[in-house]
Amino acid sequence: MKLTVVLLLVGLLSASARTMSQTVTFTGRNVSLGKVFKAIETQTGYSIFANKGLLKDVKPVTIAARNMPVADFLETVLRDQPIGYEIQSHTIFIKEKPAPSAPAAAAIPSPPIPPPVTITGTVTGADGLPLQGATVSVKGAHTVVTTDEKGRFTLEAGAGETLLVSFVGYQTRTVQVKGRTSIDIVLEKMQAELNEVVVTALGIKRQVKALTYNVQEVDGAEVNKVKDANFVNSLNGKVAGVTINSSSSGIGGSARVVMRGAKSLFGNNNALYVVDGVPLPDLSSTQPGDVFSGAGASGDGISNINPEDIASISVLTGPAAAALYGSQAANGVILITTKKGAAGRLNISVSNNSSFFSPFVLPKFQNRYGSDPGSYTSWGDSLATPSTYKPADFFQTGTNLTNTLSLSTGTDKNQTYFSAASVNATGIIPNNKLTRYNFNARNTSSFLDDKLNLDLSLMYIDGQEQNMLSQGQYFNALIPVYLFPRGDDIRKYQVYERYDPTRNFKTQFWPFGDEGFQMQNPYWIVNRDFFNNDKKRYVFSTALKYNIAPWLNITGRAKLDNNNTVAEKKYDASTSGLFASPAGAYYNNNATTQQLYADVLLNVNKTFFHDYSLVANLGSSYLDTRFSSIGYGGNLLSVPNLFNFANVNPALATPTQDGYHDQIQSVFGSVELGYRNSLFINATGRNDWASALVNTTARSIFYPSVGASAVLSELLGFHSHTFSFVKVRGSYSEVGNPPQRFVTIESYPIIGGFPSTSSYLPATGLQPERTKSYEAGLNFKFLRNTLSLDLTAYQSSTYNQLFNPALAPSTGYGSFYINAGEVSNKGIEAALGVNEHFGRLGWNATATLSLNRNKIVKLLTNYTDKTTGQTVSVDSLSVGGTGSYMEALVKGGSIGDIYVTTLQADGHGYIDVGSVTQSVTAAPNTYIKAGNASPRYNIGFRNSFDYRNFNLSFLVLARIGGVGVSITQAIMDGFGVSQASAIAREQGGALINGYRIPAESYYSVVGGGVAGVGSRYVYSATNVRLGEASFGYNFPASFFHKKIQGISISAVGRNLFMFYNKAPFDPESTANTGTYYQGIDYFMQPSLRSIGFNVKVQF
Amino acid sequence: MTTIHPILRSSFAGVLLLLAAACTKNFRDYNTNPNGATQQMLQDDNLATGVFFSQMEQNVFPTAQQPAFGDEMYQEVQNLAGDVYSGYMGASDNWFGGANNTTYSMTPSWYGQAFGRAFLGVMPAWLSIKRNVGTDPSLRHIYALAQIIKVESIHRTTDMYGPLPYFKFGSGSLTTPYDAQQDIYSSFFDDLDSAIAVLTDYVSRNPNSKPLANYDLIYGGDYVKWIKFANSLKLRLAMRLAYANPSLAQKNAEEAVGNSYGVFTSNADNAFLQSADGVNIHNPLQIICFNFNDIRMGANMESFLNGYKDPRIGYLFNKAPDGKYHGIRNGISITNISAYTTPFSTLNVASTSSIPWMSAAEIYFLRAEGAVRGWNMQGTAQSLYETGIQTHFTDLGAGSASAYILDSTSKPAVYVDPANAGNNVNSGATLSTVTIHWKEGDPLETRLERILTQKWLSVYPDGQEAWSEYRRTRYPKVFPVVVNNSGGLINTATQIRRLPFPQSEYQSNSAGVQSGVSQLGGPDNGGTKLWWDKKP
Repeated sequence: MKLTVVLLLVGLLSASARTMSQTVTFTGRNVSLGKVFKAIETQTGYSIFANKGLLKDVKPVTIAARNMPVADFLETVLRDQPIGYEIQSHTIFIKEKPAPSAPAAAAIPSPPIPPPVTITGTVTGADGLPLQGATVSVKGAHTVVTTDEKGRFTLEAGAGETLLVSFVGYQTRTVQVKGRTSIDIVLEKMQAELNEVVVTALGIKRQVKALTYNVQEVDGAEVNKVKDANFVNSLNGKVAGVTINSSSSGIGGSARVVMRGAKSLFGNNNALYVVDGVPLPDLSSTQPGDVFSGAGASGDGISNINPEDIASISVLTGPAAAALYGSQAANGVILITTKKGAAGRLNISVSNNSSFFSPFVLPKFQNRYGSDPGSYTSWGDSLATPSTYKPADFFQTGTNLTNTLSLSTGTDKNQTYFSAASVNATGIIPNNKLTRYNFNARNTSSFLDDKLNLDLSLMYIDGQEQNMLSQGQYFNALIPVYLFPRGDDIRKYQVYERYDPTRNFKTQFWPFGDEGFQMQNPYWIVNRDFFNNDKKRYVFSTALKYNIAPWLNITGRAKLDNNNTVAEKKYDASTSGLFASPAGAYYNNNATTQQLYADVLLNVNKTFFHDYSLVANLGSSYLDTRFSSIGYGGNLLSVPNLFNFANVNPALATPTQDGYHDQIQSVFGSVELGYRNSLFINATGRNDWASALVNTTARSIFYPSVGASAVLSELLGFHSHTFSFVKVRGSYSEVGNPPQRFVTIESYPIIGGFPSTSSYLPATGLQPERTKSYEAGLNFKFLRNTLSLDLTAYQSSTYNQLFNPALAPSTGYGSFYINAGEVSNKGIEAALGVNEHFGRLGWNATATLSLNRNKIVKLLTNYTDKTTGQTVSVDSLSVGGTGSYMEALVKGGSIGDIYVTTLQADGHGYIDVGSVTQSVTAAPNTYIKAGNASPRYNIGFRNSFDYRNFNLSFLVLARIGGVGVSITQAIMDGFGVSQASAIAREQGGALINGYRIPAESYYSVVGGGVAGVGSRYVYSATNVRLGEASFGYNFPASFFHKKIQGISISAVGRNLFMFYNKAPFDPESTANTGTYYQGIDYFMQPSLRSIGFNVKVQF
Repeated sequence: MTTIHPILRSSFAGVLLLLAAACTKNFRDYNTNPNGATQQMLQDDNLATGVFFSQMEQNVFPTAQQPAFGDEMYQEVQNLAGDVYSGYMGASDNWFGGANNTTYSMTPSWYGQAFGRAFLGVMPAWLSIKRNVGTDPSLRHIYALAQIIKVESIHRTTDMYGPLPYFKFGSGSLTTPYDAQQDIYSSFFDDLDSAIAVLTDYVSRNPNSKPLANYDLIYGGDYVKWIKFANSLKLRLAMRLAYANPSLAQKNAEEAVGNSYGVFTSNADNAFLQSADGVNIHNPLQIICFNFNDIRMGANMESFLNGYKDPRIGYLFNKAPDGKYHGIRNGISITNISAYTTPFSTLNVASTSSIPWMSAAEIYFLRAEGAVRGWNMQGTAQSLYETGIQTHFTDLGAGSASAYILDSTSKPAVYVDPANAGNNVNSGATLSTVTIHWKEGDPLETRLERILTQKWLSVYPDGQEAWSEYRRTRYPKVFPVVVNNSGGLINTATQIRRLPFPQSEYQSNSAGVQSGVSQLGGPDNGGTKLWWDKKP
């Protein structure tokens, strides 16, 4: 297969090697015109078409030309010939010489018409990107040309004439020539225009009206307005059908992006990211799934993209849109188009974003009751004066300074874009840091008179993460901070290390011990236990496109994405013995992910019989992913704080090695037939050969999709000002997923040098998982496009699920793999847009609504065991939890259902209260359903107002429904530090069965954390917040006498205010960006409220 | 007019090559986990038949390390259960605000772990050996050894939980019914008898052969020692049934002692796990005591060893900073952890200390008890009792026990908690008064208490076995918990009798665990007695 790729690249590059010029060098005396034409063809790559009849009267020519432009050359050789010519794209048509103008013209005495001059120029959008296919015409004349891929045009017009420039989706402009020969025209987007084009799968641009599925586009500027270190968080509320939860690991953390509901019970449910047509590797780190982990988190691959490099984002929420990407895209795709250089003058922009962070939602604490000496609980006497201890004081003001420089310049043939960005951030927890440098260089050039386009880009990312904490007991300073005994003085422990005469250096001062929560001095944790990730990533990509004919081109792309992460853990001497020896501990893990993607794509775009159009693509792709990681580490043996392998105790060291190699080879194609530009049918097909399919029943996976769309307003002719546009669409698609790698070939893990038995039952006879989905949609535009409404209803069914249920230990296996289970999702995506001007006041608003209903139709039904012949059905399965909180899959329920333990109660529901103990008892094995972690509805409401150069915008995010469990609150209650525990004491106890029982004994049972009672800590996750707001002013170029092009300044904020939230944590924040372990707060880092400023200067 | 054609051609050639060359022949390689051994590889050196012994042996007492699990596993399986319930050790930490196993607020993430070690660690390895041996008669000796280790593991597990999903294990079914402890115990005797017969036969034919020398971490493949181990284990299991089924107990005990190879008679027979054959084993207790700072000498140990002026005390524990030995009582309220870590005695254990499975001393005490009960144990109760003590002294390197054996006055000392007088045990029914010197004329219960007390001292640090014998006999007297957070489920005076079934079984094997609860004959909590727990 490697050979094929090389051949592919050689094949494509061989074309570029024979670079053609558009000038002619030719010397000859009395040579035939045929020879001259041959020379033109050889030297320029142009094709010459001539009717033989035309050539019968031609004479031999005598000419000497050196590097003469082809047009001039032709002009010279044909000057005395009876024939003329016309150049269209790369073809020269020889034709009859036009008849000389009628002499009558000379008879009219009028000012002489200035001779036409050749005008060249470019047409670009306001974002600087070239517009291909824009028409440029001379007003009142017949000259009409269209722009090429670089937005360039060449035409002839008189110096005093006016050009008309138009492009679908943009406002038509008139430009006076005024004697210029080079004119660059910028077109403003027409708001809510009907002929918009969007980027779809594989980077193919499609007309919106032709789409049979829902594609939502977000402008690059929209994610830069109120910037987040991970731009994905800025998409929240701006697209329908997507649920975005940001990781609780703080600045630069990952995001959980689930489109149209979770489909796969055991696979990945996060969206696929595609940059410039090429899928990105996942690069997500292990997510915390128990009460311990969560320290040393890391952002995923997409989070380290520089948002300033993004030109636009297309969100394909449904699998129909993504069918062309195969299995990777079953969960929807976020397509990112990055910026490239534009022809014209040098554009430089420099921007700065400064943000300041504080905790957004904190639990409520008490400071009225103290603690018994030496005790870490606050169940002591009422304090004479309330404690001044404030857990919130532990947090510092986080900052993020992002500076970006971008530069764009170019000529007709060659454009360059360069950007550099730095992110320097500190979190709200001391010593949490994120540093990132992004460099991006991109060059686009065209050869062979624009027949061949080469696009090269190199992206380099250097990132450092330090102490990213999402949740959990290990190394979580929030636990000792929140629970700190109210009778004590935290200042005593702020000096976290003291001189130890026996050891002759300073050791941790923490007289309390770990309290069962692996607690240490919180100031020690943040100053002496370090988790550092050092990431270096480069992405090299190249695309070569050859325009075979105006309606036919072939594109080849290759992308190499190489990511290296060195993760180090350094625990200083006297860190808790659970994590380190007295000398400390050191771990170092080096992981490399290398992904090579290559594809070739043949694109056809042709109109025929006037009314019919055909857009077709045929291609093949190759995706090869290799991962390897090696690690070593353990407790230090002798020298304290010497973090080096040589100092690691070899007897207790843990060497680790991991690796895999996946490959998918694919062929795919799509056909779209259009009628009168208002009725479209579409079909796609893709076949994947995946390495993970070895030993399954399938050799490959086929994904078909079909769809149709009709612009009713045009077809039925009721287009009016009221009904500007009405379109209906529908599609059906199937996508699949190969099983997890390795599971079909049994292997025995090596532990301590000896093989041990596999933790899963060997998988035999697996089939690929499949998702069938239907969607139907309506797109309306009313009142001259002022109002728009997009509605999509969808239904999907994922069956043959690659089920990996946990088995009871009594089976001897931790889990097994089988095709079973069916999950259905149905829902509605709606977006309502308003775009109106009231004089100088412009108002632009979008409301999005997402509604998804997920149902586990079946789990394992009548599975016949091959060894026993026994028939088994599984109707419920635990997929993890903490004891008092559990996520379970239950037939008839939904993915994300949360179950919690209860108090022991009698048959009538009365809670058992011990007659002697006066306390309640937990029922650790009795689970009741608390609800579901997913929202019932997500609503985003974005408003933007423009007045002169002022701009005000805000985004309200509402999430309705769903629940979350706060173990944080439970444990705080158990330790008597919560406001609730103080109120219960003041009221004489906790209210049970209508009576009050002693608060301490009650909370010691229900607030036991993992052993506590989950049902007492279920909170509604419904919340409404002011998600984003910005207020800015643009200083126009005129303000600076055009010395600079403009400055825009704005004040921005994220997570500014909760209008409604009843949970003691931010329900939109999640510690785990995977499928499960949702709706749980286990000392999660609070989400961030940010306030900041943007300054952008354009030169 | 032709220049574009070569380009078009080469481009198309590229597409076609990609289409045609969907060469997937390397896919099998790619999809084979490079981080593990394949079935094919296990055929080399006949690994498949022997290699899983290492896994079995490292899971009886969980000592395997990451990526399997860490020292926390030993802590949860052994240390925060049997080790504290036997009175051997005291917890110096107060997990979950003091509501945890040690105060009878049973912690699900702890009490389920031992179940996993048996059924995810030992039994799958046993099953692999069974399958690889198949019906090949020449490999029966390998399976026989696997059976012995299986019984050694599962008797410890059933002694914690009671009924287990044992006979139908590995049936391939996703749910497994539970079996009554009574039936599990009777299968132990069958399995051991058959293993002893097979190994005896093998040894007689191949006197010097040690086919599993590379994989057996206990005896280096010495089958003669394994036969003695099997007999000794049979004696231990027989004695467990002394109250539940006296006749079965006597029969098996006499068979074991009377076997031609017999039971352990010297410390050279002792079974213990330590680094061998390239497997690096360290003692988790060292980490738990010194790194985790979670465990110390138990209050009962302090009381007995100090009271008896026992020379073994320094071999088992380290002096506290005040130069004395201080143990921690179990089930106490610890509000200030540092008050319980530094001032109390650490365990005298090193990273390289071996992990004992069974010792000759224990076997002598078992025989002494049998003799007291009138069984033929090939010796008098007194001689077996005294030999047991001396054998343990010898094992520790503590010299002669003759003076100690003659001490007829020393009694267990009162217990003083230097950090909290509320935990002191000054007198009363829970403070033992038994002395060391054997008196044949003492009442049966006194003689039993004497034997069991000395056995308790010799079985240290295997708290799991000591807790089982405490439950069976009520000896030695273990201080009850001070704080009982069980919500009335566990009686403070009769103490904890078992561990609840794991939550994972309720979640994934619900019907199975329900059958277990019904065989248990009581609610699934720590207060319900096991089948063999029948002493009136």
